[in-house]
Amino acid sequence: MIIEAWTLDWFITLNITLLILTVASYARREFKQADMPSKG
Amino acid sequence: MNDYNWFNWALLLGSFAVLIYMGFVSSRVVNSDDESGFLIAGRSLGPFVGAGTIVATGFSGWGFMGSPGVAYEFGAVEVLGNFFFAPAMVIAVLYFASFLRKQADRLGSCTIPEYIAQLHGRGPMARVVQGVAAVITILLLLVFLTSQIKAVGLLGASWLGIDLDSSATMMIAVIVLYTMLGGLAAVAWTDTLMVCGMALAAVVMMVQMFTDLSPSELIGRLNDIDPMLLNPVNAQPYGENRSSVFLVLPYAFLFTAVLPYMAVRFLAFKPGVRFHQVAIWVAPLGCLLSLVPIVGLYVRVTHPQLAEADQTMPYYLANYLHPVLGGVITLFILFAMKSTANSLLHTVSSAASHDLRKALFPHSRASASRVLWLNRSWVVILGLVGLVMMLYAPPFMLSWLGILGTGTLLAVLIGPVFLSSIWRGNSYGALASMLSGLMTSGGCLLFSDLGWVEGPLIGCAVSSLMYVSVSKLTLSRAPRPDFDHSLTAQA
Repeated sequence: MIIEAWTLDWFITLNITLLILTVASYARREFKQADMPSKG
Repeated sequence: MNDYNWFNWALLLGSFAVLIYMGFVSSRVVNSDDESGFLIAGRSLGPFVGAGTIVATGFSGWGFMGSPGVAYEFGAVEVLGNFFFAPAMVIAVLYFASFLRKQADRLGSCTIPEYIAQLHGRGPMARVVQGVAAVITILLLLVFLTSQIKAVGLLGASWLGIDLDSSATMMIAVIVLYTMLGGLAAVAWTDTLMVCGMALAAVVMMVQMFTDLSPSELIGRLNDIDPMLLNPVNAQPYGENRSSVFLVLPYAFLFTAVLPYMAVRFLAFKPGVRFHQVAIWVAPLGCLLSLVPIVGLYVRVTHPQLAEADQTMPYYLANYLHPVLGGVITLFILFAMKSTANSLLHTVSSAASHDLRKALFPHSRASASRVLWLNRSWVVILGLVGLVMMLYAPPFMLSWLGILGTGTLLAVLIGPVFLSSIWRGNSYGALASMLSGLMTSGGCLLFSDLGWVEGPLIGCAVSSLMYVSVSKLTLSRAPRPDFDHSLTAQA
């Protein structure tokens, strides 16, 4: 529990999770893309 | 705000000039020999413009006007419910958009009804599917468009101190003009400008609220008024069970992936654009706009005796911001409504000018300039129809059918647009799915007490079931078009 209100706990947790996962997904795919020519 | 009326008019007219100029500039994309220029912006959208138009269209005026009112009345559950549109858009962009774009590209589809038809059949039956999908899209989205015109008109009227009819006529005239000039390119570019304004509005409101009250003060005072505002035992207005609010996530995902006025954007990206580059813009924009309903909690704490919850945002704008700032924010809220209205207008006019034409006159050999003229004419015609419907239809019917429109269209199209990405049926399955989705979701919303999320989701389940079962039963009679091999080979 962050602020002892399930609605806002979920809201804050999911907001942060979404941003982190999107950045992680972006970084992973960009690195993968950058790696591709060297593998070829 | 009367002392600042001239300023509001200057802002509005300035924004009109910019929007029309953008329509004019984007008309270069349209003036090609290919109809895709008008329908899908000549496949020219980059990651930022694509993300901007997806977020602006998805977060309509509801996020700014309706949702804060619901948060005022029901509390923080609405803040959570409204937020789910952000992850839903990111998931749709990351995991569905690429598939849809590839398929549509191979088939040469420029609209969602055309995509459904080409994916499921050939010849007369494909034309029936395209025609039915187009007619249902026009009927359901036209009503939604009408309610958006009314919402824009109402806000414009109170902002400028003029009557509703004049305000709505002025707003729709400008939307028609730039949509007619630039097609989807104009819609997408103006949406991107608008989403920047919407994001700025969200930041200004957060700064104002949290410099006045710290988050802990806000939470403490909400608890003092009613602990249920933060810790409700149910998830009203979403449902009796707490988990009901989480149903907004699948609903919003299907909303983004399936509804033609959202999904057609996936067809409009430049071929080289990768969708993680789009998602990196969608996520922060979505998160920022999902903060807006907090205004409802803030007004509840500072002015708990508001007569009508619907007045939350107008009250906030009139009482908590300097009139100049309030005017700018109102313009951005108008942007939020217009960005949805222009997308709806473009989608219904494309369904009428392109899909119905292809379904009814398959052998037509109209020249490119004539087709463009037709596309533009339908924007004007349906814009006028929307305006006339707003002026003469009963107000209750409009708002109710507006809600009915998107949810039911979702149930209509889930099988042929979304389920087909997992298992592809045939034209009979697509047709049965569309008609059963229409009946079930429409029936649940009209004749039962089910919530606005539950009715369409039941419609989706029935529609999906019909899609698979009818397709399986009729596969021997109407086989699927044989392009699986080429699709998978090239994917």
